[in-house]
Amino acid sequence: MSVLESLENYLLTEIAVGLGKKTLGPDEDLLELGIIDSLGLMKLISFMEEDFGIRIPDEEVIPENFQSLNCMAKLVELQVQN
Amino acid sequence: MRDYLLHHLLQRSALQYPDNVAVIFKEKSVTYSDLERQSSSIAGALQQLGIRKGDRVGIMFSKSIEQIVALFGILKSGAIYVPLDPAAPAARVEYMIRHCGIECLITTPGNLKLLSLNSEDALGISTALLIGTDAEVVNHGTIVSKSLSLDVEAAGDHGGFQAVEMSDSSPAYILHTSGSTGNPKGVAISHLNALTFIEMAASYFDVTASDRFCSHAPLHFDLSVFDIFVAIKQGAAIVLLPEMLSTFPVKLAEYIDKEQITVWNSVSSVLTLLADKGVLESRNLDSLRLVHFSGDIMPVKYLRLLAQRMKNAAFYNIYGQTEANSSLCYPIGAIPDDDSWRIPIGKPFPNFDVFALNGERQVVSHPGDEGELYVSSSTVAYGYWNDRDMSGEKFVPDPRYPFLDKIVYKTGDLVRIDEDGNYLFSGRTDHMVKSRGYRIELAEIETVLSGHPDVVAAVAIPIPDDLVGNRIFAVIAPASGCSVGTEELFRYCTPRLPKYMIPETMAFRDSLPMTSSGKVDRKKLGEELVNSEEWAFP
Repeated sequence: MSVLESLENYLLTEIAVGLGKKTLGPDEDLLELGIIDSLGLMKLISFMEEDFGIRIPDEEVIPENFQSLNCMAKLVELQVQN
Repeated sequence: MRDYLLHHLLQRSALQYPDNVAVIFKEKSVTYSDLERQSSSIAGALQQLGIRKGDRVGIMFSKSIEQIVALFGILKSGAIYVPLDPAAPAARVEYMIRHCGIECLITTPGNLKLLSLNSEDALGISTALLIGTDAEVVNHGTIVSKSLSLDVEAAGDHGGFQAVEMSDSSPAYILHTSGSTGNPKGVAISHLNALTFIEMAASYFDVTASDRFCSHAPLHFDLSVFDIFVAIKQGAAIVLLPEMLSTFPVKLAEYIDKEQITVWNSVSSVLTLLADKGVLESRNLDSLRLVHFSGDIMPVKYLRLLAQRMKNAAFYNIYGQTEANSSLCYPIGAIPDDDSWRIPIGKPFPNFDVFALNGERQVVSHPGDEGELYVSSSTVAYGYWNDRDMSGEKFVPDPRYPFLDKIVYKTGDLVRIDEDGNYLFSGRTDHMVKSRGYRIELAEIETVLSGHPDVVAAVAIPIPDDLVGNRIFAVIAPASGCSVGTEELFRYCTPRLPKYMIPETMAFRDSLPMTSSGKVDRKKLGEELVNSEEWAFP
């Protein structure tokens, strides 16, 4: 599974359950949709750190990095390189 | 004569500080004279729509200058404002509209459209006042709507606004909190109730026109009363915090620094997240002089961190409920080295009379003895809107005055007194918990879950958590032969419960453990959950 797919899968099964969404577009604004709130964000970050074996520094927890699946995938790639 | 209605505070400040900035949101701001003029236009427009003294007007905005203008407009028209959260499920909003008898909704064209789209039935409102610059023609069945743009509103034209004479005993707003019957309950607050607290707080905390309040709490949350009205009374600035920033602690810290906030008032969980993830060492937070936290328990290790980074701030643990506003506070002095120290909820504010009754209905006076806390003050609300039974249970005659029908608020909180006369929170008499500062009646969640056709019984279990207060889990007993799943139940809850009330995870059992008295054994379930492999605690 690609980073993008695995993020989409986690969001749909763990964070956005109940909204009845079957897919998330790579550029869909997840903050605008209200899918990510503070508790959801905490869960998402620990999933990303575990699943991709990275550490996301607090400084990187900003809206620009969590706006959409594409933004998150970029963040993951960057942290993998580091 | 003293100001006896909430909007008098604005009228007086607009005369005294016409050019002070009253409200700031992102790049926009309004002065006190703007706010006074624009809110009169709204009041005039509401009156033209037929709104009269005592009518309920729903106010549905996300954080915006328009929201504050609309709030004062409603008050000036003599009506009662009822905040409706644009992010709340449509069914919940519809319930509030029906239950409060809201006739008119003041909102944006976009919010009304979304609400109409998501509602199963026709909305119960007959009129709407739409605020916005887009002159889009909105047609929503039988709702008569009127549009008003604050930007092009002519100076001096108050839209025919007629000042309304009424007394301070008139209801001013209705705030909804979680209800154990499965529906939220609306606490009706009078002008006097609110002003009693506002006047006390403005003087107790030495608020001046040079203060800059960060308005974090949404309007449907009673912390907003302090932020908005205390600031307005003193001619200070209200800096509205965009909702999304509280999710991103780094941005929140940047915002406090950039906006030079002097007064902060929020639930504890926002501050614990800020301390834990805000990278505070890279910010200058010296502008803060007052930091209030409330709602849930603040872990000492985070408080210590905040105190180090907010060097000029005085910290207060604030205790209260919507029904009686904040009644107790504990000023934080030296912070003990012991991380297990439980911060007291402190002593009553001036003009509050607070006492605790033990099982024999005697006032608790010895350190260590436990009792239920009661609040007596002019801040105590009339009761729950359209709910005499529930009001009678919580707003009760003061047992200390058996010959009078003097009403006190029965909080349901168990407390002890310490050696210094401070109250300490020790638990609840019922199943209400706090999560991220929100009051949650576990029964409200359970009622919704049990309403699913394939569910026999459901129990909501709070698991204490340092950062958010409590995390909510649920255990479900499905009907025999039914295989209802987590996803189906999440889908069922989403349109019925606000997001913070939907259990994070659900587990399924053929039956629920019972105590010897035949009640569900919550304690046993809680212990099982914490120790079970089935639950992932990130």
